[in-house]
Amino acid sequence: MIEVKNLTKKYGNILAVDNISFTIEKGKIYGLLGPNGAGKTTTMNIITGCLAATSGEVLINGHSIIDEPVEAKKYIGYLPEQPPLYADMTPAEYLYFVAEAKSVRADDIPRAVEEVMEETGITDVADRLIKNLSKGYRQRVGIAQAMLGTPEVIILDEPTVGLDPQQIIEIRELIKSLGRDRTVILSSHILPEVSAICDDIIIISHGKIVANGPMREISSSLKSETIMDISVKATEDEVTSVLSSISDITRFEITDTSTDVAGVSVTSAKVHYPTDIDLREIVTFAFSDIRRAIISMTAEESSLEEIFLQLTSDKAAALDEIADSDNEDGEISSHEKLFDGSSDVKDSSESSFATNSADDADDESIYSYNPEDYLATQEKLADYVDADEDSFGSDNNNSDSVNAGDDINDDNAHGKEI
Amino acid sequence: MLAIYKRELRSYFTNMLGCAFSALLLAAAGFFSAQININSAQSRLEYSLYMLVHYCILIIIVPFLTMRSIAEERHQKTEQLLFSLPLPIWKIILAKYFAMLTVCLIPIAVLCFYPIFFSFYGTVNFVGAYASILLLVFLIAAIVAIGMFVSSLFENQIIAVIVTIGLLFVLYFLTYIANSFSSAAVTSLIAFCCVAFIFGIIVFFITKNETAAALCSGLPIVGLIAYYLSNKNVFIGAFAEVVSYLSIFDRYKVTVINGLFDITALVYYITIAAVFVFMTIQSVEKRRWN
Repeated sequence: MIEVKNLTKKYGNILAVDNISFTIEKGKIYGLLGPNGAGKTTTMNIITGCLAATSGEVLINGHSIIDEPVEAKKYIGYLPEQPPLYADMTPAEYLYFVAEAKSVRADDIPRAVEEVMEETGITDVADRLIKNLSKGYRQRVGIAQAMLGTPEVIILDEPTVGLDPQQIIEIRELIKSLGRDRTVILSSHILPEVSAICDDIIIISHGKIVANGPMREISSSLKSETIMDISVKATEDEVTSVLSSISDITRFEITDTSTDVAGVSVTSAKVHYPTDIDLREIVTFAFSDIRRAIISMTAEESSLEEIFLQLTSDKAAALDEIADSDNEDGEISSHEKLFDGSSDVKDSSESSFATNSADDADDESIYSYNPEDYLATQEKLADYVDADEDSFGSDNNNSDSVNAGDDINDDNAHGKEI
Repeated sequence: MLAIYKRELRSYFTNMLGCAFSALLLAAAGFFSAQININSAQSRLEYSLYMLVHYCILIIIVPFLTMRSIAEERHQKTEQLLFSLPLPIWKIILAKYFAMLTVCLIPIAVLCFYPIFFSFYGTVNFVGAYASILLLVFLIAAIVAIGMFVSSLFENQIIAVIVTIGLLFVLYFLTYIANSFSSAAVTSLIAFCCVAFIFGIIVFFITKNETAAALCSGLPIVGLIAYYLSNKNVFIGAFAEVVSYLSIFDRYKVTVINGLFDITALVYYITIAAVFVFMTIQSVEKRRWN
């Protein structure tokens, strides 16, 4: 379908794309993933003939984009980062123009335009001026434009950037439906987005391909650890002791402690465990043994962010970044000290425990709650049990949509709200 | 190609630019015609048309038509759509060029009725009138090509219009400027060298390549100096002569005022138009390579 061979692009002395090669096969959705400035847009611009490569070759159905651009471009529909729309036209006029320019047969044009407008859901705004349309609709008009002329490959450069969450979900659905009978290549710097839509991913960093293959293979080959956020109606010490007693947990850290409306303390923790076990069950029983209710539990399928960071930057830099941007994750670094067995463990990481330092944990697990309080809250807890179980179930459902969201922080925020 | 032509043409009339252009050109032509052909009872339309050039009307209004042709595509990022279409660049540029030319032809088509109206009230030299209209069309074709080329160099249409008007003014006053220099051989040599130097700067601006620019201005300068040393007499008054020969506006004046239809003028305008359209294609093509 599309073959990219040894593609290199230099802007002056800056190497934007460094000798990359990959193949795009028919009928899949590909995700071109990388941080900003990695060379995604440059690569796409070269594939679509908008930019010439410094060296290397792009073959589309056997036609070189450099030597036979007109023939090669017939197989491609392209939506650049900024939709190339003429503001003073209506979507209908614009699409009619694009269809004509793509040499769609004159008789077929009205039908073709009608079809793409229906598929992208812009029929309602077909006669409004493009400059008056919202960003989401413009993006749809852009996608409709790319679909005209029935190209075999549709290339979308960051199709969801700048859209609101509702629009993002709609555009993703649209892309998925496009992928049913066409090949789609989309670029993004948002990892969950790519993992939600794409069959195959190509990760680019600093102009080089660092990983290429089916989604699952990449995540399983690199790291088999899952992170789960849980919130429990219990004190920090209780949570700590229960989690420490579960041997399947690789490590965990307490991320938040608060008291709810009824004055019961709620503790949230981030738990790391091997992907091949179902920790939800174990945790549920562990807390029910001490009659503590789990109020939310959100598992991330795998720690994709970490894979991404691992691939796109050296690990040390990545960890620094996490520590800077994020307090919770900052504790990871203090936690790693704990693994190192450094002497200041007990003073510094009261809230962080690892299972393999269980001895330390036992030393500190002297519960200091008031038995009367405990009994009082226990009654309230009994009332909540049913409701909590419900919320547990719904949380699991939510976790899918949340996973499709932007980053770990969203997940946490979500957990806390509930 | 037809699709782009149609879209361009449409856009000139949806954003009023085409209408404003036609109105201004017709208003100016009508005013001069009223003054010369009616008030002064002078039957020759050529004179009124020449006034369009003489009073710089064309120089000022045509650039407003051409300024957005390429610059706007770049600014709005719609050039990426054009690049990704299964159409060669030259077809796209030609479509744009002919769309602009069509906008210009609309007021000129109206001008074609003037001689007929005048013929009701007196004797009209139809050949002279229509020949000068024809030449005006080709003069405009050359100016549009220059404007489109300048537009392809910038992303901002305001800068494009200012540069185009400036460039056309320089071309317009070039003969005056050239004549104001002494006709000494050294002056001509220096003037030619300056032109070569400016050419080098332009080449550098387009290619961003120091070597190419140095060659483009260096070689002609060396050649000129060598030629000057071997034969000084050729350079006496040469610059003014060459400039006058090359001035697009002077040629129109000569043809119209003298009443001689100069076929070389026509060929010259077509050449200018072709060269600048070609340079526009190169300039746009080059954008993909930078």
